[in-house]
Amino acid sequence: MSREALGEFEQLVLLAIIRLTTATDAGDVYGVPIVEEIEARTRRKVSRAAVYIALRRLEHKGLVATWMGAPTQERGGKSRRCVKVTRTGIQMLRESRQALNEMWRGLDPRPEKIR
Amino acid sequence: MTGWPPPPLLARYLLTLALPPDDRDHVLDDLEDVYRNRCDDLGHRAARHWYWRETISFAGRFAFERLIELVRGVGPVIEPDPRERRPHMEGAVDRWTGEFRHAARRLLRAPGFTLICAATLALAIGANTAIFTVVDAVLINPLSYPAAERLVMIRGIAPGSELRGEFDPGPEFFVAYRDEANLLEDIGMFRLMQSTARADDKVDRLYMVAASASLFSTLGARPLVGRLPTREDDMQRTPVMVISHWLWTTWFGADPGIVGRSFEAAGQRRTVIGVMRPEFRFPDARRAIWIRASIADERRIAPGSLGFFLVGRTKPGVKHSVLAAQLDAIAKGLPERFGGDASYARLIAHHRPVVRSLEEQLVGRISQPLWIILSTVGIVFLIACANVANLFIARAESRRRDLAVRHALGAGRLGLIRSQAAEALLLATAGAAGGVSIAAAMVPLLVRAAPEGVPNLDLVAVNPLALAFTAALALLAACLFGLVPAIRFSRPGALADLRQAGGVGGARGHVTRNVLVVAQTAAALVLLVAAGLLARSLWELSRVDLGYDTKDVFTFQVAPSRKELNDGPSFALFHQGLLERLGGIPGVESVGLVNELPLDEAFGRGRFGTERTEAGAAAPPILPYTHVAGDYFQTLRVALVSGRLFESTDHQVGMANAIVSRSAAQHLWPSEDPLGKRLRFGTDPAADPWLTIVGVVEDIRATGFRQDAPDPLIYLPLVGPAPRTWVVGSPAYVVRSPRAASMAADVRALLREYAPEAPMYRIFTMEALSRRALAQVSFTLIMLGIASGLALILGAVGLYGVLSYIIAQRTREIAVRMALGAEATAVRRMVVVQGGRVALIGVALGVLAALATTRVLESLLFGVTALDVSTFLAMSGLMLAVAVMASYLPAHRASAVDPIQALRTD
Repeated sequence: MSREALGEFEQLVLLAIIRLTTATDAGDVYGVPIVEEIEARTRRKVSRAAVYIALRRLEHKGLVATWMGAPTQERGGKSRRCVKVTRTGIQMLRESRQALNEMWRGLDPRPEKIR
Repeated sequence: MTGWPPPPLLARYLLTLALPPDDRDHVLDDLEDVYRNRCDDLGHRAARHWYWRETISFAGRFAFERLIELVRGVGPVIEPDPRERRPHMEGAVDRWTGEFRHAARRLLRAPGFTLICAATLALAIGANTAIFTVVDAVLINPLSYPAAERLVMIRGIAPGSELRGEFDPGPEFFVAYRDEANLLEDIGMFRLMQSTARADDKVDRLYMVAASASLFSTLGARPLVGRLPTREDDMQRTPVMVISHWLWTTWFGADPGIVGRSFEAAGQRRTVIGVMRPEFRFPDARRAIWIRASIADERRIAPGSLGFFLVGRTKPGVKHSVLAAQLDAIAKGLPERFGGDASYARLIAHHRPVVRSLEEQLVGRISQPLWIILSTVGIVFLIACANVANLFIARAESRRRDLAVRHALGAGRLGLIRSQAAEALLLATAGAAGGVSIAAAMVPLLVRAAPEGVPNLDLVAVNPLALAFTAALALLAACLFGLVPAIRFSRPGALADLRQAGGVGGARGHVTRNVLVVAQTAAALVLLVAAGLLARSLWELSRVDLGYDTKDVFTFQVAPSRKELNDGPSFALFHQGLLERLGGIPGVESVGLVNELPLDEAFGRGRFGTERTEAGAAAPPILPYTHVAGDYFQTLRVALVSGRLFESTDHQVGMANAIVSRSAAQHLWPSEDPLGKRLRFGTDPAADPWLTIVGVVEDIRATGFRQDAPDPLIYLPLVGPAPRTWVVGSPAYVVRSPRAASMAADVRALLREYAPEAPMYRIFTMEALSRRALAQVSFTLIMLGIASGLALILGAVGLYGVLSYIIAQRTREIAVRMALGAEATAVRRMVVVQGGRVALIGVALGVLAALATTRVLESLLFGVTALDVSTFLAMSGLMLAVAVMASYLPAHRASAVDPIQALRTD
């Protein structure tokens, strides 16, 4: 495989963005809700800083795109940096999932079967 | 959402520094959003704590990320196609791993250098991490109550009245403040006590709090099980209590049905209504029971009985000074509302409330030593970095040819920096790993050596935050000692120099290294002076005459409980019997008992009337008192000034005698013979009979070595003039014996026979108590001593390194000199003078720095000023002596140069 596969954490971040973007009550998708979404779904604590760094890397790789949203009142007129997954990002996610599915095919790893 | 203070400014600033410009604004805004939400949900304190943790996490991760980006050459540019970047990045990763592999190999080839660097860093990082964990638990998050910054302790001062210093107010203040102070949201009153608790077969003396129900609402405490006392409990005066999590688990096996059970505590059967959470430790972690206590009749408070602690919760945004002004106005109306005599009116006329944050009140005493120790180990860390930087420069200079060759072969500047940075990072990592193990080993020792009463000590542990701190330190160290030399030596100009034959090009290296040694010497001297001042203080403190002898005295308490023990005389009989039997233990020289043991418990205070006060010549004074029996004075070697000591007849009903201390005699009957004079324990002639003074004893310093003047003290016998006048239930026994340290087993065996139902507790030797009293100074001294010792060694090693290197560089020159007839002693002198000059500059700067900084030690010092000339001189001398010794070795080597050999090799 020539291209660098996505790490698990990067996949979590990308999927969280997609979930938030497609949610029916979609508001701005930015750092805070992404962290909350991952924590709520995976039921584990994630480092906020790690999420922002992942976003930064994903942006450098062109897998997500960012823009400044509309100014909000709660922030005293400041706007949020919103994020969405790019076409390449979605493509990469699909490939990662496919690769995993391939590896899982026909396997049933119950503890007693694996030595 | 609004009304909360902004996130901590310092943290915000650190974040601004750490975050890359393109991410800065929106990350800061996002964090602030979450911070405000957390303020609403968990309170400002918790949110602030959270913000700090995030700051450390963000700063660490982003610093690392930016380093990687820098090395990879990835800028904050958005690349549309990820595939374009990847080959470059893969190359960078490969280069980096290769660099680390090479660095590791180079380091392994120089094991001495590697070991010294890693060990130096491990020591410095370990000490910093260990102290940081303590500071984090004790100081950064000391109070676990919601909106704890609004909690205040209310005390009072009355300059010009008979009360000296700060005091805690009385119940009438509580009632008035509660009713009238509208700047207070809530206020609670409490007293601390130690009393016996009995449940089933368990019996022990426990630390307790007697508190108004409002104490809990003021603190915002919530129970784990059951409920908390309410205003109704206060009004109906129900005997209820809440117990600590510790007591619940150790005594009752965490029984979920504990609520409703009752057991004896503080002399009464009380019902458990709740169990506190494990993190509730008010006012300290030792408290096991909070009994509900309230004022019997608020309309009939006898004003002037002071010594109750008041905790208030201010309304948001109320400044302490504003609250104090309101409380002042309220207190001025107390005599009008509650009455009181002339002396009370005088007290109120002089009274001014003191409002202080609860946090300051609880951790203020220990916070200063901890910050001092943290800054001390911080200095050691900088010295260690300077030392390793010195070694790195020396190494880089010895690798000049290697670097020059690499440069000539086309290695870019970045490549050269990278190779040095890889070494630095590897060493820092090794240092951090060693440091964490050192910290893990040190923390339990620190906790054990810490003075008593430090809050949250049981929570101290090397946690993720401490590890993050270690990692940040290691990174900082790598930058300090690795990058600076790396950048300097990779300069194109420097590399051009390097092509010349070894020897001439290092002039700039000398300057840098000399500057480092001067800085090290100066920093080490500051620490030495501080340690010297503390050592002097400890010495002076240990020479203070307490008025009693703590050597060879064993002490314990018992709390007997039998049906027949129900009045003063019956308890006295019990104690007299036990005294007699204790005296029979082999090796025991004398035995006595006292109700409050010096250095351990505070004396009770009471109002004493004399004939003079009753004639109206003076107000009856409030004086400390205690009860003693047996050979108490002989056992503690308190000297008799005049008259006689108590005899066994004094402990029988009707023999109403008392003994006073020298200053109490002076206070009550100035310039009169106190023997035969009479005083009354109380002020009511009908209820409190006269006691006759039969003896005067020397003053003692009961609260410790720092007590300015001894307390005037009244000693009462075991039994009052009437059977019920007073009951001495569980006094402290003092036993003088050369075997004091190993007596507990004998006494326990005797007690099993004499009073099987009585718990034996508070078992000490008086020497241990006196060590405990000195713990705050000795703890700081031990830490500073270790730190300054480390600093001294590191400073000496640094100087030695520089001189050795200079000698190596000048071997040719020295050889020529010696070939021309220079004496070996002249060569030696030249080198020592050179080292001495550098050290002298360091000492001069160190003295200036110490002059500016030792003032922070002032509150810990005793009998010595912060600018004590002899300490400054002695420590400067020590530093210079060590420097000269460190110079002598290289000097000796220089004078042993064989000219022929040296000239031939070149």
